[in-house]
Amino acid sequence: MLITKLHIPSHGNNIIHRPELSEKLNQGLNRKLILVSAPAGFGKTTVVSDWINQNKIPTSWYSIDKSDNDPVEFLNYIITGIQSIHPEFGKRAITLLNSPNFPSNQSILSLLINDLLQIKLNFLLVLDDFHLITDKDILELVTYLLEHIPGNIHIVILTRSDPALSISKLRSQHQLVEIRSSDLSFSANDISILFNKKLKLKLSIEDSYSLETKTEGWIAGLQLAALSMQGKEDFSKFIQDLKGDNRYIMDYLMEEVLKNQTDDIKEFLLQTSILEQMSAPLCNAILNRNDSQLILELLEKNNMFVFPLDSERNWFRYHHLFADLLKQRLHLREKATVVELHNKAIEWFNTNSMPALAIEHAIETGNFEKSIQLLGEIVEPMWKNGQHAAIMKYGDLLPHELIKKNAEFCLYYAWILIISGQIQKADPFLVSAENITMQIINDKNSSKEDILCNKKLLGKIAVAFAYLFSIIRQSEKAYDYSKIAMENLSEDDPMWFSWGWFSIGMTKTIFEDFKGSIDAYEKALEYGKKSENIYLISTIAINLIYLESRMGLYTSSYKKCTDLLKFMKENGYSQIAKSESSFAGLYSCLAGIESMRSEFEDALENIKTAYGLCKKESNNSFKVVVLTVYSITLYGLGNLVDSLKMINEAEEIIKQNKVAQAAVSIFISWKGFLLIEQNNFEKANHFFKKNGLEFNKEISYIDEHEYCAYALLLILEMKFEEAEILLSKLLIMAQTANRIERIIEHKILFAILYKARGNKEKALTNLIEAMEYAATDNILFGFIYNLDRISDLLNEVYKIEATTKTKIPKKLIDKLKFAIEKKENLKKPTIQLDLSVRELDILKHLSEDISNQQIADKLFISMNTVKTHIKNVFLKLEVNNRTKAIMRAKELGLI
Amino acid sequence: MKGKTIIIVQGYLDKKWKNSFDGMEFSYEEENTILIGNIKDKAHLHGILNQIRDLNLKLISVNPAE
Repeated sequence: MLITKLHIPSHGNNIIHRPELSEKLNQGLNRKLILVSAPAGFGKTTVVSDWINQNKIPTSWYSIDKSDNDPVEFLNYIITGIQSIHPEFGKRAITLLNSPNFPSNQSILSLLINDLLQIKLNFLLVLDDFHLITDKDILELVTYLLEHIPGNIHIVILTRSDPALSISKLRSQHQLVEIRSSDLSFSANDISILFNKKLKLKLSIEDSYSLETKTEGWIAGLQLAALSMQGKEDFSKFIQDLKGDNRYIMDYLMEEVLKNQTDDIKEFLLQTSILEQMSAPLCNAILNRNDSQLILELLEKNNMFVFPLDSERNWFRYHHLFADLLKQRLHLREKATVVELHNKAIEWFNTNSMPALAIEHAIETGNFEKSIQLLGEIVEPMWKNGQHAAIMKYGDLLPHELIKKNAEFCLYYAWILIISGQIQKADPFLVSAENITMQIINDKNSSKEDILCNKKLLGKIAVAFAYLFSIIRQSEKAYDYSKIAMENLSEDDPMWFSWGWFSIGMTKTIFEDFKGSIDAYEKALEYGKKSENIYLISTIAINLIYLESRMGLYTSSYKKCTDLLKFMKENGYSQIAKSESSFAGLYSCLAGIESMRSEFEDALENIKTAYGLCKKESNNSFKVVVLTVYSITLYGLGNLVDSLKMINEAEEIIKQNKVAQAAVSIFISWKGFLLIEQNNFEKANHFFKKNGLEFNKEISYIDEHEYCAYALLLILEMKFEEAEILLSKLLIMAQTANRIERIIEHKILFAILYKARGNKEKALTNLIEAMEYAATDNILFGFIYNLDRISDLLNEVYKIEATTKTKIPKKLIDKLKFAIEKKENLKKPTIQLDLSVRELDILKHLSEDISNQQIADKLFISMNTVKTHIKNVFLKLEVNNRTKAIMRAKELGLI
Repeated sequence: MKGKTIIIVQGYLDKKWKNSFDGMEFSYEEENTILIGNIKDKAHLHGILNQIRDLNLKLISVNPAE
């Protein structure tokens, strides 16, 4: 980071204060944005910095350059800048940003905006040279910032062209002050003041008007004219000549200015023009001299478009336009001499630990070998600090054949390609990286140190390979590479060691070795915590949570969820958990487990958060799971209408997209159950058939879930034989996989089956077993959802429990009774309604949207009777019209 | 815009600037400078237009050559 970029530019003594502009800028102190938009050389920076200095407004200034087109770099500068006003600002965001994996920009910004709210002070955030920003993500970031910025903070954008932000919206909301070239350009009067009062060059009124016409008030042109005039006798003649010349005005003036300089100074100017920023030692090195400090200060004093970048006057830069004019002249020389200058700059920046700037010069001269060599040395810290966009930019810019010769750069470039979804592009780079390291490791002449170093590198490359292959589900290869990774990585580097274990976890998941996968993830988490990388920790934890809940290890999964949230909170990252879409998985897990425990109120809270988060997510499978859990939760709370809405939304997603089978299975299971619950057996049957369910079909672990609901339907349809075959198969599967929640569910279904067959004893045995299993994790949902079918059996169990000993803990019985009571309470209004058969008939006809007379005709009763019935129905449903009555009846499941 | 393009700017811009306008040929007509060249893609065109903006030259027109 170049701190000089955060320095508020100071200006010479010849500044002309411009009260009319200050006035306009002052209005900006009540607006969100001040936009200063004008071409180069219109004095944008001077006007704004002068206004800030005059009024002593607290300011965070950021002079952007073209290498800042990386959201991470950009945010780093913004945060560091604001820290000069409020040191506590953005500390957490910085830690998150400067890590190899970081949450979305949106999440970071919400964290920052939260921090901004703590700053009570009025201050400005100035973004100078904003036109250099081309990165879409940064533009989005700034747009978001403008939308959410607190009232005491004002953004000032200085730019050569209007930025792609929602400027017109701000204008219509009166949140914008604009200063444009017509405001900034000098009038004849301003010109007269500048030349006569400030520069002490005697200029007549006519000459001032001539200059205004010729330059159109363009300040850079005027200043260059003033420089050209120094040492001249006849200003009027000079101005007339200038006016009569059709050449590009800056060409003309530059010639004159350079003519006025000694050869020594002229050379200094031309040769240093290749530098974006210069210090005396740097200039000394490039020009083989030792008096650069004196020259730089002299140039500054003489208004030669040189500005100090810090208050110590260590670093300077030319005005961009002036530098362009100088550079254009320099480039007319032999190419070799220019390249030589750049090479000296490369060397100086490199030996002075400013490799990023060395690389810029290497790229500018097309010296790609050097660029790659330099990049190879710094790419790891760049990656670790989250500068992904910069690595990507270099990777896309440099010839791929050259990149393939540098293993380090290959690895990190490939890594970034993989996470941005460009798998195929990443693969050849990893192959090259692997070949290079293998060669060194196998070469007998390699030093011990080299071999050790390359083994570590190979380990990292193998992690990337394992990651890549697990994404494209080539499990064998993923497995091989995760093994290579673990052979070469060690605990000394906890972050990479953690990634190594993570890759093993991923491959084991593909092999459906969930137990092994969980163990690997546990290891990954252990080392991840040592690396203190928040994002790595949360990524691993979320994977672990998902797997454990898939395995039915609910207590452990639930604890990991709450632990992770606690950890995030303690470290001040609660905001991230609430805004980062990857956390949707965690909240949906919490809700799922709470639903199973019949803790529906808590579940609702969490599933709402998950639902909000996954909207941004593009993963449709995940959306289906969240919607299904949402539907389950709502149903548990007695809200059938919304529950159906959610499941229908899930169905739409499945119809229109490719969704993972595991997610579809969860959906089928629940949708089928809902149809059964609405006594719509025919529809349920049709639904299961449509989805290819058959009682004697082979069942895999992925689709076993949906068969639970199917088994219930078979029982209710009295297909006892089929139900028994299916349930026996499911129970064995659940027992083999040790999935407690399924065993409970199947045992309950067996109880229902035996009851229907009149074998009460066996029914009770199964139910008691189910309750024994349920005790460990308080998994109550099977009992609650089948309550109508098993309540008589439950009462028997209570009796048995009271007299003889069972293994069912009393705590479970209490919890179950409590949950049942709650459910009964939800149902009560329906029970109290006590609609008569006739009233129900009336209600059904009402929903057919026919007139009262037609209803009367259909039911062979009089109009008046119909009216009386309707009145009673309205009373019982607590509604006052037909539409509401129908809605309410639907809600209650009456029609 | 892609293909042969004619860009006209006001005033006389010396041919010495050619290396700043990648691939464009310079010619002059009355008070104006005419830049003609093959535009590779949008980014190329914008680069040239930005250069015109950065030098504060007056852009008169941008047209495809027939």
